[in-house]
Amino acid sequence: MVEPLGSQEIDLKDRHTTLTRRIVLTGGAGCALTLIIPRLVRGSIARGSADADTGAPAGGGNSELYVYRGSDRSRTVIAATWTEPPHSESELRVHAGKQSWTVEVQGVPSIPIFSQQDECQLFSGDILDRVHGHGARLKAAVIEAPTHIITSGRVAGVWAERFSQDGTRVRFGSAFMARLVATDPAAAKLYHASSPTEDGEELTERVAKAIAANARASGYTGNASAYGLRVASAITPDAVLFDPISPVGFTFAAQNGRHPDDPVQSVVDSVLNGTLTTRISPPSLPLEDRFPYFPQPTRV
Amino acid sequence: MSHHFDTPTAKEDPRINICDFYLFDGAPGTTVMALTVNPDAARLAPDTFRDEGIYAFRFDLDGDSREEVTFKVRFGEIGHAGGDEHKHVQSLQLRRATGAEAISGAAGEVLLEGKTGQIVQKSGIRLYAGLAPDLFAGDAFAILHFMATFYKENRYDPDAFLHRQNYFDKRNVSVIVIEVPNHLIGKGTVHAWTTVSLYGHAPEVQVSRWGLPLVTHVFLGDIAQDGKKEDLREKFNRSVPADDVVNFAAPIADFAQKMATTAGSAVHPAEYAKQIVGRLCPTTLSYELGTQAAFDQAGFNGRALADDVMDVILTLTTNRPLADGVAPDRSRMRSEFPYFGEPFTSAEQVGLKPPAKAT
Repeated sequence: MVEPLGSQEIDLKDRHTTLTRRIVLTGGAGCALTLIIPRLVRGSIARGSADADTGAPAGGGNSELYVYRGSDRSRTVIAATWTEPPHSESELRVHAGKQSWTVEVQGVPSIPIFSQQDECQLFSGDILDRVHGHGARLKAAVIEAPTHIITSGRVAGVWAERFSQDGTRVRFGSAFMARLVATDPAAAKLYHASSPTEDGEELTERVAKAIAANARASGYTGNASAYGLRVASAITPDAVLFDPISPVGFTFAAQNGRHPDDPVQSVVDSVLNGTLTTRISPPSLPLEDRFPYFPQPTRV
Repeated sequence: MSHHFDTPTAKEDPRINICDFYLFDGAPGTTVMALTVNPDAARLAPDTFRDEGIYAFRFDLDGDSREEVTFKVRFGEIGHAGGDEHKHVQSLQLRRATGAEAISGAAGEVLLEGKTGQIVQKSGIRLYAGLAPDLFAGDAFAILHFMATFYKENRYDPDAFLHRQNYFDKRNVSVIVIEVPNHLIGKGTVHAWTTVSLYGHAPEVQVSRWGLPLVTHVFLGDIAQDGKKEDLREKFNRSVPADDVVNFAAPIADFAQKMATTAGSAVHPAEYAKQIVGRLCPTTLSYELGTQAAFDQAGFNGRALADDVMDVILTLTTNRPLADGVAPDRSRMRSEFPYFGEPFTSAEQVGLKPPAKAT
């Protein structure tokens, strides 16, 4: 069965590369579950930042996307987390294989929203920042769905886009791109204005330059430009790739999905720098045993 | 120590013990393949090649882990260059074999003939065999200590790698370097490995195999199978990549899972172990012909002389960025064939300690 919009099969067993190859994805709308929140003021949706020269849109910080096998192995958890200014509301669209979900996220005071439809569970609201602790909060949307509706045994590309009230759009994808766009405004501008099916040569070239610069700064002794191009070609188009049949985990050996506790930063930094780099920020708070799995602030 | 001092057979005769295998882009339109034997050549090992040996570079072109093209090098009896009893010279011959001849035997189309210690070239093909600097860099004492701590104390000790001494520095090896136009190999991505077989008065027997660095030393070490300690390294050297999954997936996974658990480096150590098996089995070196070779944390695409494979394998072993603090000596590399630089002289080797022995 061929995925629409030119997606391609991925062979995660292509062993000569640590980086799983990218596919052209479909973001087609399938079973869309929308949480309707009364009195939500929906901002206009615009692609790209209102301030064209500033690169990354405001509020796009710490955008992380997780895709992992649930404790019930027949289910998959997709979670997006981000920092957002207080009182902000936004709409998050999650695209996973042939499925899409639209989630409205309230501002402060945040009331967690739970919903269940068909076999999917959804959550949106505040969660505790597990890494920084001390009561710091993040916004989150968590979806748990049967794996078979996300992928029929093939590799699914998962990505998300968040639309804020001020019209900005922030895109979520792999941990590699999350780090790159956080430090490279030019790459961020291109990235947040496009979708995986639109990731083209311009983004790849910009990413390659950013990686080459990282490599030189890190003391890479080989051809930094060639290295940057090789890595950029492997991580664009960008999405979190998830193959439920292959071994899961975001590791130095392979990147199949991403669990919230995977020590991704060392992998990401080492690959993007071209030199082994240690950056371990283990979570100080454990995940919980039940949906939505991310610890939530205690409501007063 | 990619393969240095590997098995009983190799320890008996270092001339048939493959230490390393390199595969990288040479002159435009060509690929270079190189293997080294004789760890610490001309000191603790000979500086010659075994005349009963078939030194082979094998290429799987269709992904079935079986070779379709093989380049074979054989050597004649040892003579003395210019009557100097300290300078050895051997005749050599390079053949290219396809089909059934690629799999076994000494047959194949003769491409080049010449002598060791000299570059031989014809029709865009170049060959060199002789003494060369050992370009592998690794802190042998550190990894031995690291592995001993893991097995005996069930403890992950990255501080072992603070030792930071390259035990292969200033040592020589015997190298065979071949540069061929890419069309003599194939197209696209190939999967390669090297072997040494003994061939002559007795039926051919493979005694050494090399696909990826450090697999036998790290992943096939002190593993107990069914309560018995099996010499998996010897089994590896005598087997073929097509059987690697059946023979070695389980012990590799077992080791990787235990290491990830001990290091606390993976959410699901069993899943990580499967990922490692996916990377290492079959144990062949993938390379896309015509591209820049690199064996690094971004992936395996051939192996260039300057690639620090020890750090890459240590990191994969533990799922932590782990480096031993030493790197291949670029000052002993050339930008042109035979790419290996001048061997170390006796004067440069004064004070060298004996090589570390694998346990």
